[in-house]
Amino acid sequence: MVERFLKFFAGVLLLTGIFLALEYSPPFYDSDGKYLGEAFRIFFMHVPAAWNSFLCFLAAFVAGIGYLINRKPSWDIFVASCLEVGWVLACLVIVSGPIWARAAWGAYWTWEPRLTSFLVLWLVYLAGLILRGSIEDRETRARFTAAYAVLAFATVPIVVLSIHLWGAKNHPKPGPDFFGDPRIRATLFFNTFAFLAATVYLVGKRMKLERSR
Amino acid sequence: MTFRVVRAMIGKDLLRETRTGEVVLGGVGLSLTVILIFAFAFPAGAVGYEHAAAALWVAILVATQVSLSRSVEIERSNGRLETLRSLGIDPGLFYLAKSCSLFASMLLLLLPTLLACAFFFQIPAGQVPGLAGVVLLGGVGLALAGPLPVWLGSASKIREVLTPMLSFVIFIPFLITAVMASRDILEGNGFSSAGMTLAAFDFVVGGTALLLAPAVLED
Repeated sequence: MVERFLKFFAGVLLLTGIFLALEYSPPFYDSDGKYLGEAFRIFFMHVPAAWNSFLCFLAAFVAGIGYLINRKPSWDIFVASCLEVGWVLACLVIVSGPIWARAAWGAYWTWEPRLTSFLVLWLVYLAGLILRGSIEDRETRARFTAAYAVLAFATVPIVVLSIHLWGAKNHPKPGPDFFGDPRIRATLFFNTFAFLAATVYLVGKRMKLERSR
Repeated sequence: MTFRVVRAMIGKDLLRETRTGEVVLGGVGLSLTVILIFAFAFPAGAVGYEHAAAALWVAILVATQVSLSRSVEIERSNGRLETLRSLGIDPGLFYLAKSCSLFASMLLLLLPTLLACAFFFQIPAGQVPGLAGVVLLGGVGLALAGPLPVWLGSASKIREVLTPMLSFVIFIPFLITAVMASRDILEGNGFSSAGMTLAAFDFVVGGTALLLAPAVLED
C-alpha cells in the first residue's frame, strides 16, 4: 500500500516537475548576462539527480559504518540498494550534462574539474557494484561492500569541492538573480523533492528485491 | 608491544624483499618502460612540463599497482595473515605494517623513476628535490590507501580485472593532485595548493583505509 502510494506520488511529482521546468521557469542568464539557451532547462533534471545521488552515497556511507559496527543483514541490503540507486542517478547526471554542454560549449565533454571529478565518482561506484557482484560468500560480500561504500564516499566531497580546489573553468556560474528568481528556485527545489520521492521509492523497491533473494 | 610487532613485520617484509626483489624489481622495470614510452612520444623541449609530470605519475601508478598486487598475493598465498591472527595480532596493525613496508619498498621504486623522468624530460637539477617531495607525499598516500582495494579485489572471482580497476579509481584523486603539484613545482611555482590538497588526500583517504582495514582483513 505504502509502496503503491509512493510510486504514484513520485510519478505525479516528476510529471509536475517536468511541466514546471518547461513552462513555469523563466529563461536563464549567466553571471555575464549571457542567455544560456533552452537546453539549459535540463538543469532541473541534472542538478536534482546529482544531489540525490550524493544523498544515496551519503546514506550508503552511514549505513556502511552501521553494518561494520552491528553486522545486521538489513544494513547491508540498505547499503547495496543506496549504492545502486545512487549510481543510476549518477548515470543520469553523466548523460544529461553533455546534452547541455553540446548546446552551450559545442562539445559533449571537456576535462574541467567538475566533470572530471564526477566521472571519477561514477567510475568509483561502478567498480563498487562490480566488486559486490563478483563476491560469492554472502558475509564477505556484505563486509566488503560496506567498507567500499565508506572508502568511496571520499569522492563525493571531492566533486562538491572540485570547483574550489581546482577552479571552475567553463562549468556554468549562475548569475546573481539565478537563485534569487523565485520561479527558478521553486522549480529547482520542487524537482529535487520529486527526485527525492522517486529515490526513496526506488531504494525501497530495490531493498524488497534484495530481501526476496 | 605494538611498535615491536609493526617493526618486526616491516623487518620481515624488507628482508624478504632484499632476498628476492620480487616486489620492487618488476615495478622498477615497468616504471622505466613507461617513462621511456612517454619520453619517446613527447620529446623533451617539444612539450611542456605537464607532460613530464603526467608521465612520471602514470609510471608510478602502474608500477605501484604491480608491486601492491604482488605484495598482497605473497601474503595471501602463504597464509601469513591467518598465522598472525592466530598469534593474536590485530589485522589493523598488520595493515599498518604492510603499508610501511610497502612505502619502504616504494622508495626503491620511486627513486629510479624520478631520476629517469628528470633525465629524459631534461628537468633542471634544482627542481628535482621539490619534485621528490611531491613524489614522497604521493607515495605515502598510495602506500596507505593502496593495499585496501587490492585486498578487496582479491576476494573477487574476477580479481585479475577488478583489482587494478578498484586501485586505479581509488588512486585517481591522488594522481590528479600529484600531477598538478608536480607541474607547479616544475614550472617554478613552488609547493602550491595542489600539494596541500595531496597532503589532505593522504590524511583523509589513507586514514580511512587504515580505519577500514580491520574489517576487511578479519577473515
